Amino acid sequence: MIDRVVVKDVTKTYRLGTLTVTALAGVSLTVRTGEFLAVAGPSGSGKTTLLNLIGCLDTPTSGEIAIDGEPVSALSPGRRADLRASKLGFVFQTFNLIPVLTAYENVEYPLLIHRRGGNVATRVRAALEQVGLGDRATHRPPELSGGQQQRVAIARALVGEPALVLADEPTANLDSHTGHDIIELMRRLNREHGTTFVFSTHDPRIMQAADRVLEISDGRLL
Amino acid sequence: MALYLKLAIRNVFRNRRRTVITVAAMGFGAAAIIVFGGFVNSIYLGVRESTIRSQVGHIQLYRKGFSEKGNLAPFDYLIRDYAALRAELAKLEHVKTVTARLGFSGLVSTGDTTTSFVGAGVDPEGEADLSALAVIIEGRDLASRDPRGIILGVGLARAFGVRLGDDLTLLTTTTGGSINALAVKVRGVWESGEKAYDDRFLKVALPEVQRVLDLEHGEVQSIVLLLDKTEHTALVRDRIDRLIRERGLDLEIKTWEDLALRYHQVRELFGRIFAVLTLIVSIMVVFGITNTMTMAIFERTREIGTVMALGTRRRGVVSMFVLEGIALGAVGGIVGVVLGVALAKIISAIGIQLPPPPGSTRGFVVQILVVPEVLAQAFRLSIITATLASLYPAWRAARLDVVEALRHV
Repeated sequence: MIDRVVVKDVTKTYRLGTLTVTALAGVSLTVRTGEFLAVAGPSGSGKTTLLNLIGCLDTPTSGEIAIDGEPVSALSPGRRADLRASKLGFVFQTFNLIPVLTAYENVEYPLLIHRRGGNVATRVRAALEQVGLGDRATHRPPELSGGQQQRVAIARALVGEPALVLADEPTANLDSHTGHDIIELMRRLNREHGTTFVFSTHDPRIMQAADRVLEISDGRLL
Repeated sequence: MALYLKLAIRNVFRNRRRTVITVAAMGFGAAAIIVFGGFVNSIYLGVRESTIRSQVGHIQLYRKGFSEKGNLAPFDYLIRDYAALRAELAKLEHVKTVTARLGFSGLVSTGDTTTSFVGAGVDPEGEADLSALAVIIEGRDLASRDPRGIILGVGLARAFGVRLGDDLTLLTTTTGGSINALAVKVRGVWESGEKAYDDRFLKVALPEVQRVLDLEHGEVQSIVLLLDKTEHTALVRDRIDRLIRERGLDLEIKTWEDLALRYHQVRELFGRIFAVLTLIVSIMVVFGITNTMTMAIFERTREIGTVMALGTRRRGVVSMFVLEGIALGAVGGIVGVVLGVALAKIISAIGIQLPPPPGSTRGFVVQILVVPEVLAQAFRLSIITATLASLYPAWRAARLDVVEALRHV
């Protein structure tokens, strides 16, 4: 089976005035299809940068990233947007639902910007059922708890059946019990659908659920 | 697009207080345009109708060549067969009054003092319809049964110090070039509201003028038509045009639009003032919307980052915010139309008195017409300015860096 993600010698530096800050200093890794991979490390270690690069939100200063064998580092912003819409799903630390849209409409969003086969409504309902929020479809984010919001976000990430879901500290804004439930949910969906997950965390208990844990510190994998 | 439109509309109603303030500002701007536009239109209408009904009528007919050369040799361009023409014209649909005029000038004398005058021989009955705004302030109007009675403009009467019933002598040059005199009596004094006119003008019964000018075939200088409605002018003009061509008549035709010079000047002047007001309102709306949208974008930076992360392209982000601007503009426009119509009705109902405009001697009451075109213009302006004003903020939103936007708190 082909590797879902290949990261090769990737560096990322930022300029802060005259200062150059190195966020990633030569990282190489592969993510296998269907893997449930945790990237662990303290804040400032570069794990968010790594996820942003894999998620095609940002481009590396040097090195190469390929998703499903397709190099993505040199794509134009528009092409990267299309790639994100077609192949990737995102779960954020702060849930990031669109507050003026209902749970249903939030989940529907990726299907409307990137058309896929099948009935949109059926897909959205199924995605909400999977995260256990079939009865909350008409609620708007402010009417939902943090855990429920993150479940909607997971449904939104999965509704388009992406090749890869990136979750940057998905439990950091949740109490430990809810956080555990969220990881359990992601794990279950990973097993049921074979969806590849890459998530970052600094919570040791969550790392235990992962197939593999990559430790990162000062921009390098340990 | 439906998705972005839904987002745009919901976002408009998201920060209610800010939207209310922005919409109120736009609404007042649009209402100002509607009220001022309505006022200006009522002035246009007033000037148009007063010019038509007190002077020029809707349509005038002259002997061909009169408007070009008639000034130098007015008596070379007289219409001969007036009585027959009159019967013909009176039969046309929409024609209310057919009357004739014969202009002349000369000196008017009390015996002690003499001054110059501009006069018209008019058909007393027909002319009454064309003097809607010329009020007889002393005595009575011309009458056929009192052929020697004349009426004077108020300025002329005052300067002269004449009273009702005073005998005057009019001295003028006949068509043949000799001097002739006409003894008349002051029957009335009138005021048209236009000073230049009131200071010089007098009116005499047409047959008397024809006699003093030595005209023996009932000649007139112009035939003046008054219609039931100003809107029918073009229709009747075309019909008379056809008549002239079919009969091979030696006539030329002018409508009030050709003759009402002041009407065009007023339109020009107020049109410009209106344009300036529109510009000012547009600028205010542009700033208001730009401010609102810029704040909205700042507050929603992370949301913009999110939709971009989900794969929304830049033009999608632009659409989202431009549509929001359009939605704001539409709401502002609707509020403006409602407010503007309400204000127009209220102001008209109150009846505010204004001083006389330049060149006029009479004040008037403010009337604000509700003009559909002005409403449409105000609404259109709201949408257009709102759209333009949202372009730059939308462009800035689309230029946001996804990673930075997602980090924004």
